[in-house]
Amino acid sequence: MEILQLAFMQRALLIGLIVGALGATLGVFVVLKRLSFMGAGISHAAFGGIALGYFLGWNPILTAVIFCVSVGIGISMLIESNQIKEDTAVGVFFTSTMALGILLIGLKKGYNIDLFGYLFGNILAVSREDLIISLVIGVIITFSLYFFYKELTLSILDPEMARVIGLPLNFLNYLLVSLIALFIVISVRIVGIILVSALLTIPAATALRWSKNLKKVLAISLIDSLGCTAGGLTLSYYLDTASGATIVILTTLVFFVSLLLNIVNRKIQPTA
Amino acid sequence: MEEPIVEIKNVSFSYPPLEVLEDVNLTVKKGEFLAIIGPNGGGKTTLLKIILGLLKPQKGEVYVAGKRIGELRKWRSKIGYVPQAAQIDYTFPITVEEFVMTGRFGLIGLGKRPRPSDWEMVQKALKEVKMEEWSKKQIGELSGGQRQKILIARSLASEPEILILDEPTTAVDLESSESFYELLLRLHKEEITIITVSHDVGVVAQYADSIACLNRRLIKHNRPEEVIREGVLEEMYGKEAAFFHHGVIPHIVVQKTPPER
Repeated sequence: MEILQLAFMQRALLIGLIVGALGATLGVFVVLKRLSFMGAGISHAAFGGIALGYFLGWNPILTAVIFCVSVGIGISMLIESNQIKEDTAVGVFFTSTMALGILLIGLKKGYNIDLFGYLFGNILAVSREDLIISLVIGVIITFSLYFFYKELTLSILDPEMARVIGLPLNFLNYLLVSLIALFIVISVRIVGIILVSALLTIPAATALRWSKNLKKVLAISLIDSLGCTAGGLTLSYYLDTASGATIVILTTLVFFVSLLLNIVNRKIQPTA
Repeated sequence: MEEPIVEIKNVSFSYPPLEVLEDVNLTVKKGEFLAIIGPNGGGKTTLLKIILGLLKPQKGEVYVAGKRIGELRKWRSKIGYVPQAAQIDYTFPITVEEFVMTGRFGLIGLGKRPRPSDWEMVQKALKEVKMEEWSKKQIGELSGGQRQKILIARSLASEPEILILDEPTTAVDLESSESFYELLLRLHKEEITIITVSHDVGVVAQYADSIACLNRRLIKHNRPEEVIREGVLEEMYGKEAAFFHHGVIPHIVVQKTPPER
């Protein structure tokens, strides 16, 4: 295949598959914990983080990592203190951090920033450095999910019981939010800030309808996400469409077709 | 049997402005089978949650095994808990045996995986509540009574030294309810401390060593026959309560609703 001989496509496919795999597995925990909207909120905060990086002259991706993790934990702490409801907290933060980004970029006049690329993804801009950061963050996310698999499961399934046996519930909540933030920052290159929460939500939502076994759900989500990322990238190359949008549309199509099949399947075998 | 395992000292708790518990003092000895009874809103569940460390009292101290609950560390996993209205997401993709295994998570330790011996304990706990055939089912497929049984199995899976139960036989049919109390009696013989909240005064009076009557304050903590003889029940439930006799111990029917739903 000729597209695989292009260096930028190789990098894009590699980073796409890393991001797809991470989104699929992390996403299952996000959807089960009903944090999809939190994911969308943090992804918008990434814009503020990237702009802050440019403004201060720091590495935008690394600045965004720190910024997003702080925003995510900040929202969680606000919700825990029972001062503000979750959707309100997310709503306040994601608009204000985006506004901050726009403000900072405006202040840095004459600076040529690929704004469109950050918002909607730009696989042509994937550098070796991006790939290395993605790999490192990918290892951190995978290790955390593997190590705390049992604890995360209980903290989502039955938080009261988790507290009774003395699990560090706050730590686990912050951990999950931090992992979401890390994931979002490395996915920005592929699908962009606006579309990134799709990777975190849709494959997991698809998989959760097909199995009642957490490990199988993770496997289905992974296969779905990897297939859609590879398929979407290839399609976008031949159709000359935006890569991020193509991946998201393909993932969504699979979701609706699967939903339809699932409903038909349940009607045939109501007890299955 | 004389050694105290749970000590509640001068505990007051309120959801301002509502005072739920007022200056409660209660000592539970190691191996004691204690039933806490009292009207709805009398603070029974709140007291259990304070013992478990889920709620912090505004006043007073609670000691479990001689330590404050926050300082218990690993010993915490020796407390088995069966909540009344469990905040469990029953759509969660998890099987019955995996669910019961979560009861052992405190013993297994952070970041570690269950071993074959852990799975053996889970099967043993499921057998105790006669749910072993349901091991591989998803928890959402169970009926209300079966859900209650796996909650009990989960608490047993942790090999508890203290078992704390909040209305454990709600939603369980009469036959299961009886065999459940038989199970508690067997655990009681193994020197496990049992603290249960119940509406079913007549039933618990047959099994428990002592009854604590709680209505914001601790009205009485004594042997069942003493509590019943002294007319504490009328004082607590009021004139609307109706009694009927079954053997030597009167059953109480609060507001004329049957004891079993």
